[in-house]
Amino acid sequence: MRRLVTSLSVVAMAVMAPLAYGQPDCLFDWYGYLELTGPDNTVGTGGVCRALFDVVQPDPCFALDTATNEYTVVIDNLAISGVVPIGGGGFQTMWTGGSIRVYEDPAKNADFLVPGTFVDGTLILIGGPYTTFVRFRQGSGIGSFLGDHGWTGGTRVGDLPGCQAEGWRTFGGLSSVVTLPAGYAEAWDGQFFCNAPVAVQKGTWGAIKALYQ
Amino acid sequence: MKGATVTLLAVIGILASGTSLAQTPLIDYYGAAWETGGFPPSNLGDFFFVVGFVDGVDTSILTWNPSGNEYTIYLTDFESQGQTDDGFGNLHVFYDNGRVVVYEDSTPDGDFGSGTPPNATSPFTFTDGTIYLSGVFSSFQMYYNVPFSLGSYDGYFDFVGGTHLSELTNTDAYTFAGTLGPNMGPVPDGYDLWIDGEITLLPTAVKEKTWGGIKSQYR
Repeated sequence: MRRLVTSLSVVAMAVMAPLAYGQPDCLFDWYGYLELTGPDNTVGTGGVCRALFDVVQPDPCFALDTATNEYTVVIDNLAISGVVPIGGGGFQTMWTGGSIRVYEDPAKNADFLVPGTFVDGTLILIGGPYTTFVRFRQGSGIGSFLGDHGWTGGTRVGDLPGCQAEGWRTFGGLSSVVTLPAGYAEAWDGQFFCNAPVAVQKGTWGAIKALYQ
Repeated sequence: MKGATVTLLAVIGILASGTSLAQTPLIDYYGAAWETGGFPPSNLGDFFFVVGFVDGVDTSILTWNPSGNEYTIYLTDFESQGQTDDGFGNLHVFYDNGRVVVYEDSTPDGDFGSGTPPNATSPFTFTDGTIYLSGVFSSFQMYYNVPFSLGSYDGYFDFVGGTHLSELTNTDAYTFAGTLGPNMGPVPDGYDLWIDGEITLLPTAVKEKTWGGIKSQYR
């Protein structure tokens, strides 16, 4: 079992390459909830996350007018593809798919009990699918999630600096301990951030050897 | 019938408070964390800290002025009780004695700086201004998967101070967050983890009352 867990972790890690170290080039922070379409920790069960951008954007790589608009996020078409039990009654789940949509809406009507209020307004960013997505859920009901993706469309995809099609990461914490809106399994507090990959630089063999002398 | 009526009122009370608390976290924050001696490992007697920024509050409960002020958060004094390893690469740590402080600062100067804090700008640029809210933890734990450099923490605390304490209808609170290690997230130089989390108020507990006690409230 430990060999299988290690193997799955190694395979997942192989496609989650380290990003450039340090401050992100772009970061959007949000909060929301996860709805599951079937039993948790079961291969084939789908998930939908609905979320809202925070009012104060930590590193707005393009202008967001939160005084006028609300910005809603929907991550759907996720499906559990693998489940690995971890200690203490928890699970590590791998997910496939995932389409990400961000809407700008002056109606400011988002209600987690009314899914349609998260897909109204202008579709400003379209992203996904995830190249890899992992979720840890501890037996105590808390956990975290991490996935790699790019942005591929939307009215403002051209406003993203540097990294656009690739190099984005979805990350956050989750909890089922909090009071949840009806129909949701977990609170998700997360962010999208990007660190532009470090560019390949040309160099001579002698210069490279000199770095290690 | 009298017993059923009391039960119905209690249920309505729970549903009403649950709905209003369920949609927006009281405080949303992100930041960076470090532990004395580095993390991982978390050794008995190490201390864990978080500095960060508040980027959202539940304005149906709290007032704030994000256009005029910077709001920062400081989690401090969490003493590690040492880590356990489940053998699957997952670490589990309990911490004692932590505190949380949210600051309201008219000078937007929060800066992680460079190097493990205390450094030239941290934590002091996250602890200037007035104390907006403060709390004392009764429990705090962290999980961390070493291969993925990915983890989470949560804890229960009571709000006990701050200029906006009177706006809270309940002081029982809870926080959870995701944690991300270096090379997987934008961890500032010298820090151990990148953090994204929130604080929520816990529902008011159901309290037993007699029918006479309830009637007396409406006389």
